[in-house]
Amino acid sequence: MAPKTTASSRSCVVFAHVDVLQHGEANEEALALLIDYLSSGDSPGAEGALELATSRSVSFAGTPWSPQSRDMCSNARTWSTSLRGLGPTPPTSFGAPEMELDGQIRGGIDELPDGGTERWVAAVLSSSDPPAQERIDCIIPYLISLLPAPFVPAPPDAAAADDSEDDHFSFTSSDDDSAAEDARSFPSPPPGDGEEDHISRLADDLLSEIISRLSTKEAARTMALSTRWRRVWAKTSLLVDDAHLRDADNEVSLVRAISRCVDAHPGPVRAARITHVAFYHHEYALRRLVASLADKNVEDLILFNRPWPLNMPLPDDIFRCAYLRRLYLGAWMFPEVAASAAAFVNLRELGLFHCIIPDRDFDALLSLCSKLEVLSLAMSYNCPSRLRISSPSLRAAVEWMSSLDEIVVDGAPCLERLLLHHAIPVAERTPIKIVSAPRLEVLGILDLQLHELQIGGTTIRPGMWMFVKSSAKLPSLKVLAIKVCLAIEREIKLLMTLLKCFSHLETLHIKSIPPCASPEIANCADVWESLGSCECLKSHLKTVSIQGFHTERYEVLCLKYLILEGEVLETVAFFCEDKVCFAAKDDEAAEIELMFPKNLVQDRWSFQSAIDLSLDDPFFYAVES
Amino acid sequence: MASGSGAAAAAADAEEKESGSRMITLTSNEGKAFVVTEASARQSATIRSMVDDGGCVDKGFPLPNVDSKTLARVIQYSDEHGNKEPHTVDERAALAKFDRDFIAELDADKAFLYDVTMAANYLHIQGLLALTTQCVADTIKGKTPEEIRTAFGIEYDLTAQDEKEIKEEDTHA
Repeated sequence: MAPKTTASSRSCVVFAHVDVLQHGEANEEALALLIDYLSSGDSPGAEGALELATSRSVSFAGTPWSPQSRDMCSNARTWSTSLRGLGPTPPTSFGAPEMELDGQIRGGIDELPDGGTERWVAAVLSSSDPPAQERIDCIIPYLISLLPAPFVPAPPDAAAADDSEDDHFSFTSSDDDSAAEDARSFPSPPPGDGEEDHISRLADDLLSEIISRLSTKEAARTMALSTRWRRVWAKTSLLVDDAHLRDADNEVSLVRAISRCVDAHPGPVRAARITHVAFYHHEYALRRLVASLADKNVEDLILFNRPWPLNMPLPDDIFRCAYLRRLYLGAWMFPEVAASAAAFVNLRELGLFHCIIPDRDFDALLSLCSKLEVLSLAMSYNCPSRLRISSPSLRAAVEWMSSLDEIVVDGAPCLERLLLHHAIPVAERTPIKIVSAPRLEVLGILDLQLHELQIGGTTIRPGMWMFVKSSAKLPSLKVLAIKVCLAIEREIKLLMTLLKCFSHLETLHIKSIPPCASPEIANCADVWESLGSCECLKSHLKTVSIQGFHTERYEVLCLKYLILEGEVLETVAFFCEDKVCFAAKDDEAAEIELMFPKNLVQDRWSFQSAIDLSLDDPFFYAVES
Repeated sequence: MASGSGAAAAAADAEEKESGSRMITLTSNEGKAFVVTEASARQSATIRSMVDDGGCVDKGFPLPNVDSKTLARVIQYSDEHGNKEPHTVDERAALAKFDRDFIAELDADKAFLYDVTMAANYLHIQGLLALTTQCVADTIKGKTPEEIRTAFGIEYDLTAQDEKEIKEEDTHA
């Protein structure tokens, strides 16, 4: 049964799964501390929490943490069902890897944001000395998995369906027996049966629209239908995706199929996505392909080389692709950038994945892209050695699992987000220097152990928590995500300093890192008590999420501090390792129904969310219930 | 609404315009009038721009290229997508299910499917156009040219010369 609560400006309600409560003796104390706070003073909302702690039989909410669990709060009914679903086993509809919805099994079981593939990559990379080939075999598929989705998905298991095709790719037939092929593609007697040709009533642009929804191969096949379809195919801008042409394992035939497709079409090329070819063996084909794509005004290009070698040179003709709006390059050695080149004037989105490009060329490249909005650098290892963001147009810069000596933001009047993910640890902390970014709104994930933030020339240090000078403040920042060990005094003070630097911060995402050495666990209670408040906590911070919450005492202290000082705080969400728990501070919490946070937050951090400017917060989002 | 005069009527009109609760009349080529909410009508970029340009909302919009049967079906789609905005997971799932059922029904009658496609194109209803053209594309998938010709009743008119060129393009390079 659910406890009652009454309205109070300080009411705070805790939702926790019974499993968490039974998590172990060590956490009893921590939880009791939180409960103590909640039940003290004039906080009637804490009745629920108190009952939770004392009876141990009430399960409030909570499910195994999985991407599907976002559905758990899809409506109040489901939610209240979960309330009744007591006991250690959560209701199956929540935790099951696939859930039944309208009789349809929901697909889209994407990997966790911090999911399997990535852990695997991290494991391989961190192993003392992985064989180079193994490293690459692991990295390239991971990088490809980060790419934007294809316009037309590859036909399911094309290889299995058309295995008769071997190395013969044909536009006109799916069979390699040429006599049978001719008979099927070009029948000698025109079909005289009385079926009315309905589809010919559709105008050319509608037929084009239909063709543009077909895979590369199927689209090409339509030109053998009739003179009209042939004409329309040529008028439809081309989509080339080598995943659509992979009928055989034979790479030679794949490369030929790609070239043939581009050659046969008059252009323009709407999009080309080539990620399956080891171009080392096809250097001539590569040069011709890039030249053709440039001639045919390619607008969207994803071009990956399958190593080895890693330093395969990308043809210079890439600079002739002046119509490009989006470009992702993988595992190339970037050609020398001539400052005079008029390339990439239309480029909005650029991603360099595991590419080699010297600092000088990187800076020159960035200055060529006068309309660039989204820049990403993934798995870049010290070449470039620094990410220097100076661009009149750039809105988002993403560094993904790279190893860089420094990140400098200088002269980025439009930069809204600076996003960092899993920096590869280097000997010293990587400086992140924000010299001039007047519009920066989203920053993270800042790792307090790996990064060293500088704002306006001032290095942000723990000792500055008492006072931060105005030149070191960044009031534009709205969303901050940090990795922090809440047991270490230095990091607590650094966190406080950051709250003072980002004086208008509205959302704080904390990833709680357990302390590695126990002696470091300071008497944090004193530290938190000594901190006082700040502008951000008094009037701006609305949402706090804590990931990796272990209900340890030091974490609860942090939570307590934020709840106590956060005068405009609306939502607190804390995610345990496998569980999700919520605390909502809700003025309207008069009834049990209203206790449920209106906006549950959910992790969505991924490369795709990082480059998606339409999202207010790339890390988490509110679940509407 | 037309009878109103002076500031009061204008204010009421402005208010209605603001709230988007006006009703709009669409007339098929057979002269049949369909009254829909403005939100539903705004699914069509064609009507949207006419409304926003201060078009003759009161007089309604004649659609000389769309017959009653097709228009009724198109309105069924735009009502569903225009009148409610999906917020929750469930609502989005319900809308997706509506789309699936909607297109499955159309797919059974190809001639009607093309009528709806053409109407969606004429009215610039992007979501509906995507739905119908994707449906046709799905029919083409996995078929040989001969099978496609049969499925769509396409008359084969390629000359020997065309065949030769296609085969050359095919085997070239």
